[in-house]
Amino acid sequence: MEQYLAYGLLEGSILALFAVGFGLRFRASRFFDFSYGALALVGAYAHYSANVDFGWGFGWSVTLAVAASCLVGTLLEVSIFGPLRRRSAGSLVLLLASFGVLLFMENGLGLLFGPYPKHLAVSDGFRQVLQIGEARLTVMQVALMAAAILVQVLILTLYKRSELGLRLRAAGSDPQLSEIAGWNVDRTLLVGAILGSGIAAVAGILASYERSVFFGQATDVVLMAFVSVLVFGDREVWWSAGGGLLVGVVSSLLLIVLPSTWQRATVFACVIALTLGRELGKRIGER
Amino acid sequence: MSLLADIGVQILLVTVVALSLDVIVGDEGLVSVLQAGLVGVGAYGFALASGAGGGSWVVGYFVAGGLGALVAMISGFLTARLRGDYFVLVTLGLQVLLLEAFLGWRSVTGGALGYTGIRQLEIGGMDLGEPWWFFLVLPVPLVTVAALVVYGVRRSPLGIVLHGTREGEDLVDATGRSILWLRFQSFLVSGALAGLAGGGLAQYYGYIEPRMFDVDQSVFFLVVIILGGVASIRGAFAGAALIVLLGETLRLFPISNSQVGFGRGMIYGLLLVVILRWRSTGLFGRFDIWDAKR
Repeated sequence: MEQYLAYGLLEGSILALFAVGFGLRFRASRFFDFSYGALALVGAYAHYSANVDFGWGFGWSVTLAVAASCLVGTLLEVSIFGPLRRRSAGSLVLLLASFGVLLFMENGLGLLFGPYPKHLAVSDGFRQVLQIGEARLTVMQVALMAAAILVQVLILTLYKRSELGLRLRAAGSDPQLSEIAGWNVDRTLLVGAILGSGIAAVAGILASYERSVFFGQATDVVLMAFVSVLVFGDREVWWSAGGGLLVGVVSSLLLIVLPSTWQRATVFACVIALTLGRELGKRIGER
Repeated sequence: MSLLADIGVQILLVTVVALSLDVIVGDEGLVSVLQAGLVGVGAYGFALASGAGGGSWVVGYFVAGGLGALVAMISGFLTARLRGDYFVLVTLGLQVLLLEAFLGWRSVTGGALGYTGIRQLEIGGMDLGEPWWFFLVLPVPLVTVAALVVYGVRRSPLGIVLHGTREGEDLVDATGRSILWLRFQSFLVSGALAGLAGGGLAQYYGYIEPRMFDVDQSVFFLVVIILGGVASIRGAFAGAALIVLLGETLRLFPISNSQVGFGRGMIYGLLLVVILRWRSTGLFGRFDIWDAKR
């Protein structure tokens, strides 16, 4: 039980980071941006290439990965989502466009880096096993969990306390009022897209140490982030983090009673039921 | 020559799925990401009924269409009050759920390894599995039936009311018609056609696996109808032909099968973005996807 809980907390903390970036993008631009999964993969592959293929140090590899993901996120916002939004595209059209971007980039990365998973090697020190109560985790796993939590705290503090956070929240809740207040909404959303891309890259790198880097993960990552955001409904970004943690822990604990093949299906069924129940409740409330 | 027949089979089977999806997108104005799952339900239904179930392939098609319709109706019931983004997202969730069921229900579907030994097309002991025979005996009648059904629905009172819901659901609701019942009917037609196409796909390839019915595949079917043009039978044919031919063109290059697959995915994704950005009515569309229910 403790072991499942420990794995759940590890998976959940990384998933929570994915969900924070995805939720932040959703809260600011009011559409579910599925290209987020591809941005995480850009970060993961860029880190792998710099670290393994070119022999760069960890710090430089992470910097390059975050920069690459932010650059791609900026290009997407400037060339696709921004122009669509200026033509008054609804959230549905933006969502469909993001599906197209995900499909294009996921396959493009598969073409560039090949169809097989790529594994990152870690030093012996990180492979040492720590006994925490009844659970056993490696030093690497504890470090990943700590890094994911630290980045989330930093992002959520920035979102809550800084003027950028205020502008992002304002752009999401009432873009017209933001414009009247003198804030350029397009610029705010661009900064939001860059910030989201950076978070996606960091989460992608952490996930690649926990598992591997594989082109098919883009869709998986974004689906799990999307489910995490949906758990608590259309609420502030910190709820997305809570959703991610909850999904990770529940998914892991489900393994006690279910075979692993039914793990994701059960999580999805629960979240669909929650979403439908909430929508139904809203409709009844409106009547 | 058999390559031409193979391309013909692919185009017509994709057209049947496109027509089935167009009932939801074109006539109801709802963007569904569930279609590959429904095709998968039909494919597995066909494989089980005609293979392990010991029935003939004709029985297999009845089961494929029936199961597709049943699962689609359940989905229609679950999403009866949803529209816009939330409809897309819940259909996406249901699509993932179906895929996980194909993967997880190993004793029935064979899991990730897939399902082999699907009954071939034969009439009176004569094997018709060869592409030209298959093309003439199955996809041609199937696509004709699908086009006639969709045409019939569009000209029927049901079609007219569905177009009414597309323009304003609340107005149709106010006339006393049940939106739930309308959605049941449209999903029934869509699911049955998608299931039949799944049966055709299973029988043609003789092998099915969950990957053939994943989220990317559902997006692929959306690309087909958005490219050809929504709410148009001509558009479904044109979209399917163009997409399949574009995908097949990649085979002319000296690249591996996985590279062909990646190249196709990139083309489909790029096409979706380009159409949405510059020509949202597609080639022959009679409904602008930008006006889909929000």
